[in-house]
Amino acid sequence: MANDDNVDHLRTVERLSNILKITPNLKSISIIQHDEPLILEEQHLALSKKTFKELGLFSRQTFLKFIKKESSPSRDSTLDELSTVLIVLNPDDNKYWNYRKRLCQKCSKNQTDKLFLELKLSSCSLKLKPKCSEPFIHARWLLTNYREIVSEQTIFSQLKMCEDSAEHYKHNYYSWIHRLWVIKTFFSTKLLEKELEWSKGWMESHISQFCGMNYRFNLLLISSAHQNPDSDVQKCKTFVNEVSYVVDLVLFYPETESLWCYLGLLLSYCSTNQIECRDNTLFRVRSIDNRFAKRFKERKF
Amino acid sequence: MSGFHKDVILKDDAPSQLLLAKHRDFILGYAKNQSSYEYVMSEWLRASGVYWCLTALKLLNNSDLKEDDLFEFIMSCYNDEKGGFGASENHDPHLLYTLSAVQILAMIDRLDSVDRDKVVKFVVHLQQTDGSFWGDEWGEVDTRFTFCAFATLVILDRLHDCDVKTGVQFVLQCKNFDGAFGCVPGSESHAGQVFCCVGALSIANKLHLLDIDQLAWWLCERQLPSGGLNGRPEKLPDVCYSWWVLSALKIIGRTHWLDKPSLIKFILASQDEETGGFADRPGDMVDPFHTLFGLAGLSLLGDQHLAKVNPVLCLPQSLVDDLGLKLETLSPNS
Repeated sequence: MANDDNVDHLRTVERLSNILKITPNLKSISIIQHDEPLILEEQHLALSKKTFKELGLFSRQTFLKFIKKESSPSRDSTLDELSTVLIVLNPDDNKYWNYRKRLCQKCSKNQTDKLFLELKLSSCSLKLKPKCSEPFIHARWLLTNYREIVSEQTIFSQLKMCEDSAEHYKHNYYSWIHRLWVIKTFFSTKLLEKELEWSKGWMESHISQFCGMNYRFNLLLISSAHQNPDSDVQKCKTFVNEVSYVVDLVLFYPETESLWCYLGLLLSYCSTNQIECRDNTLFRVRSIDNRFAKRFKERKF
Repeated sequence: MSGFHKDVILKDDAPSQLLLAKHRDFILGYAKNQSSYEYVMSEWLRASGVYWCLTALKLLNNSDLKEDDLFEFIMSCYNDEKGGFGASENHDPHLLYTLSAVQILAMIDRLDSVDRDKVVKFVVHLQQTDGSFWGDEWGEVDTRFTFCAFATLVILDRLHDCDVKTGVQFVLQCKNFDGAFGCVPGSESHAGQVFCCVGALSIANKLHLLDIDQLAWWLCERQLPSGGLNGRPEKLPDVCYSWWVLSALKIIGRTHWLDKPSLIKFILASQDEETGGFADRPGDMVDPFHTLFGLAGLSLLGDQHLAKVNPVLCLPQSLVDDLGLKLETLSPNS
C-alpha cells in the first residue's frame, strides 16, 4: 500500500474513532456510494463503500503489525483507535472486542468514564450491523464485571439498544437474549411492570415476530415467580388472561403464524401447570379454517 | 397461498440434479483467492471454514486437499499455553474453534499429534457449577458451547472428564414449553440450538429425557410449502436448516414426518450451476457453509453419490466408526 494511502487511512481511522467516541447519541451508521470517506450529519454517520473496505483491510493489517510492538503511549493510542474502528467495521471478529476487554481490565477504579465509553461503542457497533452477538457479549461482560456502571440510566440505555437493534433487524435473536438478560440480572418490580406494558405494545405492532412473544412469556413467568407463593389463583389468572388476549389477536389476525405459536406455547404451559383454558380456546377459534388452525387443533396440549 | 407470506418460490428451471464435480471445484477453488476482502475479513471463523470445506469434500469422496497444509494451518490456531484452538493465528482459543480443530485433526488422522490432556483441560475448565460451558475465558454461555464441549471430548475419548450430568441438566433448563431449545434458559426456540441440545443429549446417552413427539412436531413445523426448512416461525427457508433440523429429526427417529422429496427439491434448487456450491436459498450467493450443510442434508436424505454422514457430529460416518464412537440415535419406532 502506498505511503500516502497509509497516511490518509490513519487520518480516517483517527477521525472515525473520534466520531464514535464523542458523538452523543449516534443515530445511524450506513455505507453509501460517495466520494467523501466519512460524512457526519445530525448524528447520522455515512461511510463510503470504498472507504469501508479499504479502511477495514488497512486497519486490520495495521492492528496486527502494532500488536506485536512493545507497549508505548503512541503504540497503545494507535491500537485503541484501530480497535475502536474495527469493532464497527468488522464486529463479528472478537479479536478486537477481546483487546478492548483487556484495556478495561487495566482501568483503575475511578476510570468509569472509560467503561461507559465501552458501552457506547458496543451500541455504535450495532448501528451498522444490528445482527451481531459480539456487541451484546461485550455489554454483558462490562455490566457483569463492573457493577459501578450499573444505574437506572444504564439499564434504560441497554433496553433502548435492544429495541433499536430489534427494529433495525427483524427476528433479532441476539437483541432479545440481551433484553431478557438485563431484566433477569437487574430485576426490580418497577422494571418488570414497565416491561410488561412495553412488551404488549411491541407485540401488537410486531405480530409476525415470535421473539417479542417469547420475551413477554418470560416476563409473565418472572412475574408469576415473584407473586405471592400461596396465590395459585393469581398465577392462574395471569395466564388465563394472557391466553384470552392472544386469542383476541388470533381472531383479528388469523393468518399470523407467530400468534398461533404463542398460543400453543401458552397452552402447553397451562396444561403442564393444570390451568384449564384449552377447551375455551378451541371453542373460540373453532370457526378459523386455515393451515395454522388445523395444525393447532390437531395438537394434544 | 394463504397463511404463508415468508417463503420462496422455486423456478421451473432451478437445478434439479446434484452437481458433484461443480461443488468439488467450488470448494477447492475457494481458498485460492486469499487476498479478497471477504476471505481476509472472515478470519474470525477460519478454523470452522476449513472444517466446512474439508467435510464437504469428504462427503463428495474427494481427498484433494493437502493434509500437511491443513495440519500446519490448524496447529497455527493452537494456543499452547491455554490448550485450546482459536479461529486463526491471531485469535484467542474458543470452544467453537476447538471443536472444528479436533474434527479436522480427526479427518486427517492427526489426533495423536495434539496434546490431548491439554485440550481436554481447556474444555473441562470452561464448565461452570450449573453445568453450562463458557465459550472462552470471557464468560459467555450458550448451549452451542455444551455441544462443542461434549463433541470435542467424545472425539478425544474423554467425555467423562467433564461433568456430563450437570451439563445435561443445563441443556434441559434451556428447553421451552414448545418442546424445542434455545441458547440459554428462557431464550426463544431455535433450530440451530435444537441441533446442539439434541446432539449433546445424544452424546450423553440421554435422549429419553426429550419429549420426542413434541420436539419432532416443532421441527416439522419448520418445513414450508417450497419444501425448504426455516429455523424459527415466520423466517425464510435456509439450506443450513436442512442440516440442523434434519439431523435432529434423524437422531430422534422422526425424519419420516418430513416431506423429503420437496426438501430435496429445495436443496438442489439452491445450487449455483455456474460456480458450484450451495446458497442459503435459490438465487443467492453460494458459500462453503451452505455447501457443506446442503451436501450433509442430501446425504442424510440418502443420496447415493455422497458418503454417509453422522447426524450427531457432522463427520463422515466411516470416520466415526473408525474412532469407535457409539452415538445414541432413536429408531422410528421409539
